[in-house]
Amino acid sequence: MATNTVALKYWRCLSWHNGTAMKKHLAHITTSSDTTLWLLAALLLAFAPHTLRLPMTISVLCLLFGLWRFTIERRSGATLPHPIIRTFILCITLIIVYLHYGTLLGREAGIALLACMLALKLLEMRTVRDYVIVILLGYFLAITLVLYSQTLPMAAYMILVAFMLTATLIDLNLRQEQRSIQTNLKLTAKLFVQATPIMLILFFLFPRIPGPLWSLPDDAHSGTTGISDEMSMGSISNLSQSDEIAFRVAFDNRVIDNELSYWRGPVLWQTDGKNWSSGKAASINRTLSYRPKGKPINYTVTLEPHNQKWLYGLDLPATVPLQATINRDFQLITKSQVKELKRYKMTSYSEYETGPLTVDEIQRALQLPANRNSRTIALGQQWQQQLQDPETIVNRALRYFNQQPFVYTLKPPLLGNNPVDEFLFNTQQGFCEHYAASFTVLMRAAGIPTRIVTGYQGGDFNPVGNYLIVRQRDAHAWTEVWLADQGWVRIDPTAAVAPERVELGAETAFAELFDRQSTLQFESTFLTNNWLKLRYGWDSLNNSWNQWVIGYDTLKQSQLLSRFGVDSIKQMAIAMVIATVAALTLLLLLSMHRDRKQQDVISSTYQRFCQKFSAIGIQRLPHEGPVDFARRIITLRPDLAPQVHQINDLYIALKYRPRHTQQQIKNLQQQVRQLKL
Amino acid sequence: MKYLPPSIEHLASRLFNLERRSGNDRSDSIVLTRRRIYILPTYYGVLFSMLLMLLLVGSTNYNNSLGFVLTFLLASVGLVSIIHTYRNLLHLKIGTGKASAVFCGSVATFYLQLEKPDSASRYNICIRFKGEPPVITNISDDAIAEIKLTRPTTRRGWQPLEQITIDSVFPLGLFRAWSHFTLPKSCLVYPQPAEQSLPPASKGSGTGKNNTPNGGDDFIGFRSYQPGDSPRHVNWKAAAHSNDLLTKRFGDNESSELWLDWDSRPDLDIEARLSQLCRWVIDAEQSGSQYGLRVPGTTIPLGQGSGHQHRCLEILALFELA
Repeated sequence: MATNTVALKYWRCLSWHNGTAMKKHLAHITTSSDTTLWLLAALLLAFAPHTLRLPMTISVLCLLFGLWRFTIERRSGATLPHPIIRTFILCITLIIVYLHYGTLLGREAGIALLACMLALKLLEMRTVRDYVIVILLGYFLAITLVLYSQTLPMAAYMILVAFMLTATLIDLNLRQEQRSIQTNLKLTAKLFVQATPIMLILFFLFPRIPGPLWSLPDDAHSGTTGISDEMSMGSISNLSQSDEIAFRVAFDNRVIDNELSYWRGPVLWQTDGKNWSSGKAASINRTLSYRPKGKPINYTVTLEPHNQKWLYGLDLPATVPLQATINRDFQLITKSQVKELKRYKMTSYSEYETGPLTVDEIQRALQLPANRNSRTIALGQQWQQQLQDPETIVNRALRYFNQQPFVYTLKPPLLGNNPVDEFLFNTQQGFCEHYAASFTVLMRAAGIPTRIVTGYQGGDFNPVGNYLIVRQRDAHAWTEVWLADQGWVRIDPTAAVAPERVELGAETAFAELFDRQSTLQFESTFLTNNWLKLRYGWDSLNNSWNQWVIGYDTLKQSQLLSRFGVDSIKQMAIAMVIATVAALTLLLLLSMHRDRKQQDVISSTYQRFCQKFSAIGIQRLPHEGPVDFARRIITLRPDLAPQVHQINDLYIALKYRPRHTQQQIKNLQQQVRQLKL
Repeated sequence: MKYLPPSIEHLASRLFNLERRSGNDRSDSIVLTRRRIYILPTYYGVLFSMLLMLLLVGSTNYNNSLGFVLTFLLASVGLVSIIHTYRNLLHLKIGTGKASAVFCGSVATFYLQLEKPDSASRYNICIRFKGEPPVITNISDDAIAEIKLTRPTTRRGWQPLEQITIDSVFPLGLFRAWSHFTLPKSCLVYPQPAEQSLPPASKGSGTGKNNTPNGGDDFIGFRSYQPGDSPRHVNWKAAAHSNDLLTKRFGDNESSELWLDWDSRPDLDIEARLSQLCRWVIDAEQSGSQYGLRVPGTTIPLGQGSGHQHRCLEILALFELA
């Protein structure tokens, strides 16, 4: 009696709906140390790329919390820190985050806060519920990774993090004795593989609402590089050290020559003798304001986010992409900063004739500060008096650059308060902006309206993907002079000094200056050829990635789906639901069908085996499993033991073990057929 | 695992008319077919979908395509897990095994066999009576898993196998598939043996002498504990050292004939009398006597052995019930 009561009490106590303490206890025993280690590894993976971006203190703090939990897990008998200690740590952490950012909101502070909370949660993680919450927060941390980089490797990394976290979630739902890394990884992989088609359906069909839904924090898109709308001596040469991609261009029919590959960015008028800027904003053009000559060039640009309010087009753009305008300087202007990958179709003419200037434009194109660069101004004025004709003056200046010992270099010496004077008459070492700026000063002094155009020049042609890659190192500055009979004419003084820069591109011109060895130097060798192919192949892959994944936005979605007759958001939603349900149903049917078909053959074969025995009076009882039945047969007919054993083992293996071959099924059929009683 | 509030599941059951469909089955075993299995998100599933909403809003806000990739990947994994959870129960065959008779007040044990018809392993299947702790099992290579469900008994007679809930949240814990079913299996519950072992007031018609099987004063040895033994006779000291409980035996070590008579304790009500008779049957069997049972309407002749004891106890268990 007594023992029964005790047992009864024990069971009542364990009861699911009885007593929170016992519930917690139960929840605890289902999580194991292995689960925690898995989870810690997954979180470390999710956190690793953030460690360098976050302030040192916060990174170290988070890693310390993780390490703390790790040691608790490893050392038997160690317990989680007391709630009071945890609250204390929480307050300290909040203060540290606040001191670093001055706020707890915004992207950077938000990520820091998320990481800290997650790390702190590790110190109180005990029940299944805690584990699930940590895993969900881990997914959140994984998504913050792609706010900084959306490259293909980052995507793979993010999916790896999600994979690890999901494996931990599965681990929580497996019984102790079933837990093995192999089972778990196999299950997770199965889930992910099966989820992929549905993910693609959702990705392409989920109606995209153009974001942002509310104004983003200021730090939302920091850390992008590119040309700015101001220039000083040295600003572009800084850019030129970067291999980062500015944009990619796919031409519709023919590829243009490198000498014509000028990609127009900001146009600079205003100068104080040292720095150059756009000055007054140019008015917006409604119609094409120049007379194109020659054939149009059609192409598509995929612009990397550069956080500025303009697009790049081939000199000179003739069309205007959606959500952009063109101004009188022939610059493509957007309403807001380019914060995500942008893809646009363009038409340009490389030969053109622009019209007359306004009075205001003439004034701005001749503006020079009087108190700086007096020697340069004097030289310009001297040329004006000697030569008179603007075209002759331009050629005189280009000859000057060509014949004087000017050096085209990425590392020009620092210049003082009269930079153009110092460059022209002393150092004579400079990058494109030095040549453009000094040429402009000379021309303006000689009374020729001149302006600086910044942008990119050249690019690598990728033969694998058939497109042009323009990188930051292709950043360039050139000038335009206004001649009465031709309008604005592009003059690139850099070409007078280093023609190979314009003809072959920046990489060749500076081959010896780049830290790594130029690929072109070894072009002839087999290894380099393959390396080049590989590099172009990789970039081509990245390009497709950009086109189809990163660049897949509201516009592209509606373009793509309208081809299939799906036009409205409502239709998209319906198509998405139907496709998803169909995919899920198909998955269920497929997984059941595969089992069923084989099982039918196996079962009917075993049925025949049983029938043979029932014919001689040994009937299989309804409750009797195959093992028991075989045992009974053998006691009744010991002579049949080897055959029965063989058939029975094969049958059990086929029916209940996950892996088997067609050969085994055939084998079973054959053995049953051959069984003679 | 945390589930949704019972009221929601109850509503779902009502909606799908679950109660009517289950429980009508009179065959020895049931198969969890498509129509028997229901599936709903768990509390964690709701949390997970809230996370997905958050990720979706974030991805939209930052126009982040990779954010969408992760959001949709997780959503798809969640959706695919529905199929896995569902498949975890689908086509399982549940059959009953033996259920030995117990004394009232102790725990009735039912054995169930879970059999999977295909090669796909099943993990973390919980089986329970309502309000009881679940028994968790996997069915992998062995194809059949036997589990033991227990239920406390409070009344003598046939205790039917109550409604059983089988459920699973495998693999992600985001969805719970469940089914309720009953199986036509009962466990015989004998009356609870009375604590005091008093001598039968009336002697039988035979030559039996007044015998109190365990009631003598002489300690005559130990035997293993049987349900119904008085806790005062259990050798607790020995129990501290081993798993087996021993009961001290008292009395005369003399075999005899004995009639256990309904009318010997007219002072007690029906249930108390049955308890008393039950105690006497146990004691008589243990003392090795030949004993018979007389209750209104039935007389069991003198006999001995476990079969005889079971017959007597069955009469007592089902007295005025069947």
